[in-house]
Amino acid sequence: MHDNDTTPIMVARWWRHRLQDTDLSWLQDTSYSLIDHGLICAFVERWHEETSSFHLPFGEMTVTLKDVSCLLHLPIDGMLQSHEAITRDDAVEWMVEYLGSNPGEALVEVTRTKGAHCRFSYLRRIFKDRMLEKLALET
Amino acid sequence: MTQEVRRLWDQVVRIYLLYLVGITLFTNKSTTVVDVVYLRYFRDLDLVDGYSWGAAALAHLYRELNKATRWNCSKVSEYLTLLQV
Repeated sequence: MHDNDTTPIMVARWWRHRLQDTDLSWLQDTSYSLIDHGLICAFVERWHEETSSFHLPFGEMTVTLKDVSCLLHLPIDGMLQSHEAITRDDAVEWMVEYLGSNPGEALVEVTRTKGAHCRFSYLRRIFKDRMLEKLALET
Repeated sequence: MTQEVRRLWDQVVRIYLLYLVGITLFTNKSTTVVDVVYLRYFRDLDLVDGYSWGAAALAHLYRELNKATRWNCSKVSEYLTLLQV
């Protein structure tokens, strides 16, 4: 998402405030570029579905809500999210209404992804499109 | 700010948020797509912080671990798993 065209927006004060208000802005700085697949695999092998925990030689261990809150700075109180899977038609409708997608393009996304999904490449493209539209309106 | 511009801004923010949760919290095996269902929580942008994103992320991690019979290591699961070490 970050490139020469979009950087002026990303550093704008209103943009940062807007993201901070959602409590999700921390995610922007949270990712590992180096992933130890061996380590992850070792843990996954010891994961037990019944207890939702890792069985290690010295006992059980799991990831808790507190870990999530400390490491990712996400809110752990508030409304719980609950949703059923949505149909492709719903997905198209939502993309048109909330993202301003073109209905034809939205349909292409759900068809290509064989479900109510859309590609990141598509999101990157419409992100830029919306920016340009907005700039055109202002000038 | 005209209504039209405001509407465009809201759309831009939603696109960005959907992208953001797609590449961090709610990753999936394909790694190139995101489930549009999460738009549900971005409908009203003022309410986004009212949701328990932490709980949703943890639930997703548990689910993915359950599914992880093959390679299925998201960035977030790595992030949390490292803590355990």
